[in-house]
Amino acid sequence: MAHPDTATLPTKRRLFVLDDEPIVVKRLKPAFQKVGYDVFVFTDSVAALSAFEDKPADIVITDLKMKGMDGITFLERIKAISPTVGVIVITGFATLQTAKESFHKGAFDFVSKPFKLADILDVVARLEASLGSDGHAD
Amino acid sequence: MPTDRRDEALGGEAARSLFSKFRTLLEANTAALATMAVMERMLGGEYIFDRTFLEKSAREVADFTYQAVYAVNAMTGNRFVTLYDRFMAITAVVEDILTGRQQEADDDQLVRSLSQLRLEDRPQVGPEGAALGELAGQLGLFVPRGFAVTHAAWSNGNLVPEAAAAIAAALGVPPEGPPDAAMTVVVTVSGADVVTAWRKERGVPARGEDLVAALGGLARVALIELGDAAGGGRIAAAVTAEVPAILRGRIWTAWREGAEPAFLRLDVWPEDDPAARETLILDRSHPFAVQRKLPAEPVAAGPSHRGLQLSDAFTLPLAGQALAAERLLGAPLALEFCQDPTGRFVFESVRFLPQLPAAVSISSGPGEVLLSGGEVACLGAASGEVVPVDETTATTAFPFGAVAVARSASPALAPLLRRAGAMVAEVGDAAGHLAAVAREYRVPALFGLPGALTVLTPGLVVTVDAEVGLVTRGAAPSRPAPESGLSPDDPEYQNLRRLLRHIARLTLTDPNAPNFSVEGCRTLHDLLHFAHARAVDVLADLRQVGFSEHLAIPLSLPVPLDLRVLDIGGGLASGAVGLEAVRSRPLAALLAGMLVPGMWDTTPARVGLGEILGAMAKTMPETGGNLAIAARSYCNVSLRLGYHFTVIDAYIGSNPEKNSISFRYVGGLADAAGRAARAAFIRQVLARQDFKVEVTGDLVVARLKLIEPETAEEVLRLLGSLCAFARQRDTGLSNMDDARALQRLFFEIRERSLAQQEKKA
Repeated sequence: MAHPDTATLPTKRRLFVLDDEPIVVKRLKPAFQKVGYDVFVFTDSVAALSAFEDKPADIVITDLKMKGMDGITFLERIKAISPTVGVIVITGFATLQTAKESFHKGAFDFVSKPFKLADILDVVARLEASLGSDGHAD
Repeated sequence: MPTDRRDEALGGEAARSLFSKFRTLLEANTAALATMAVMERMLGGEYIFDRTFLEKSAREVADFTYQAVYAVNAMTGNRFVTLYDRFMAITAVVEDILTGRQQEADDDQLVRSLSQLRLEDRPQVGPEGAALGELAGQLGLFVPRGFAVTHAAWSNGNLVPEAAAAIAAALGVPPEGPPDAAMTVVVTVSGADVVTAWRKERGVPARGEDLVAALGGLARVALIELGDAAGGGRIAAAVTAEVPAILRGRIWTAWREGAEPAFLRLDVWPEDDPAARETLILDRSHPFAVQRKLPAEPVAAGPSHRGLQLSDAFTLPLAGQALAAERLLGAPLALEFCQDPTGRFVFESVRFLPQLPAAVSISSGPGEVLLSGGEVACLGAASGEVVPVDETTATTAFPFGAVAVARSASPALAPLLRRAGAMVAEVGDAAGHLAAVAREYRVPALFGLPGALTVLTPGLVVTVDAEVGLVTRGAAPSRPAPESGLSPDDPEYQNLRRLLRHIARLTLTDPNAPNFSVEGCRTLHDLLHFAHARAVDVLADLRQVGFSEHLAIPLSLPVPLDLRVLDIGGGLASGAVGLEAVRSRPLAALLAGMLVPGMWDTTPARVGLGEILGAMAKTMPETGGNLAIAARSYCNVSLRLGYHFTVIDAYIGSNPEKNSISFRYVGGLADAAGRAARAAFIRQVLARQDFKVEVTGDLVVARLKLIEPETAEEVLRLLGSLCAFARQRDTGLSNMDDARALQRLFFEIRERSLAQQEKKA
């Protein structure tokens, strides 16, 4: 099998994907599972925050424009809980302003939709490289 | 030509205004095409997109189309105001799809012909009708003639009263079948995505009242079976004409008996002896090795049967077609088929089965990596034996399900993709025509893998996994749809296809066809194409809007080509009269190609009386002579050379997504065989340049888009040479051998001349 059993990999990183469009999380989940992440997906930012409060993720991929709590607020809240979490922002409304704001709030990178699967995997691999072996940024 | 007073009054500013409107139209056209190309690429599953992207793209194309409609009306004194009505009607449908209302023109029809249906029609016509339509329309598989009784024909589990008349009308229209034919009826009751009941009855007389009774009966049984689960289920049906058969059979594309992995199961029996059924359990990948056979010994059933003795020639195409169907529809399938007396396989019904559990379907550990990287033309994974292909490969010689490996991703290979399990090309990218075809058939494809033809030797079994960009040695179990790809079940996939159907499909291709009219415009692409063609007409015949033609400047060339150039902005440098005056990038390339030594034969054509009489019987397109409409990045050139009429329309800018070349060639002195040979000659030359070519009688239409500017220039130089060369030399053709010989001669002369030119330089 191409995908090692989750239970056999104690060091598997937790990765959250948050986007209010189900198709985005539906497609990203298997892509990241395939490269060995423990993936949790959410279409509701409040539910994602609640899960993060219970147990923070190492990496979070979040949309910006969502109903209820928007991506920037979500980013601020999770950074407050776990400053080392690596956050990648994805959005269909990319502007220089939103990109700047995301970086200012501590996002690792900013990706405009539509994006290639390979590109988001690359961004996460770069983020991964910047994280220490304990799951925290160096 | 003397300048008249009207021109003086209109000239200058008025001409600049006219040209400016044309440029606006041109920019809108190219920008819209670029956006459509991006939308189309989303079908391949490589990109993650969302609703916002679809909304933004669709509205962008609509805005550009509106600009084109406005511009052509501004150029013609509002001669095409009804284009606005068509625009409003089409964009209303697009908006409905975007907002989820999905009200399309056919939505309220109670009965729809199967041949018109596609997967995205599934909510209206049910899974059976949509699947059969998709298999026939996309893959070219044979399915019976018939129609779907749509969801709109049912109310509270019963057919609405109007449905009976619609069914009777559908039966009465040939070729749905003669009145005494028997029909097969399949009724499905579906939830949102999953079929919850499937009921079939064969041998129903092809009479309205019998079909209505059968449909009602099957629906009642399905609803009773579902009980409470039937609440909210959508009923639909497919009615197909029964096919005379010698053999019948059933295929399960993913058959499991408790243990993994899944196999392909094939049951076959003689039409007149169902008890003599034989079962084969085959690998799910090419070359579909037989794992098991049941019964082990042939059943001697009936006096005329000594077992079916199924050969590879029977099983391999069936297995390949079944897996191609699975890939296209994105789910494991149970297919019922028959073999008719001519030997054709006809797929009579399609049943969607539950997806394979991930543990079974995810590919096993990869073998040795043979190639990696490349561009993903279409996501997915498949295994099979390597078969090298090129433009000369006969489609019928290509084994179903094999892995096609080519030097270049040429559009000429498109027919092979209906058979290939996967495709690899050394040269090519995800934006080209062949990539679009791979996405259409959902064939996993990786382009841009140098060395593929060397490493992937004929007969080697490999796995192409486009999702990870690898070609590995050996076979791996595949799954019907890529894990992270876009599944045909996804509403987003169906919405995208629905949008593309109303936005990007081009139904108007021949400006001389009767439907090339405002009323004939059915998509935004049609509107753009129509507006562009009519705007070109205005510039080609400026008398329509009050100018004389003196605005077009004669160009002095070293060949007897009486060409006038209408500079609409940046096309010509002032003060020069020869080739050096041409500033238009595409026109300069085209003319340079015409002037390649040896291309322009001045010997009179060898014309027989029969050819002259043949030409007299035909209506040649009206033309005002040789005219080039030129801007810095654009040209539209109409040429009457010899007895041919040629139009080349080209745009070359820095953005490949906006670049395009179209070529039309019609007329000429020749009898029918000669014309066919000439069309074959031109098609062969153009196919080598990766054009998508369509030939209809005398008319050759070719298109090339999404190309790098340097490539576009090279292609236009070749087109220039072709126009000059074909001017005289194609009159002596009488068969396909002549066409091939002429093609060789053309390339020999051209390459020799170019080599000499290079040497001199």
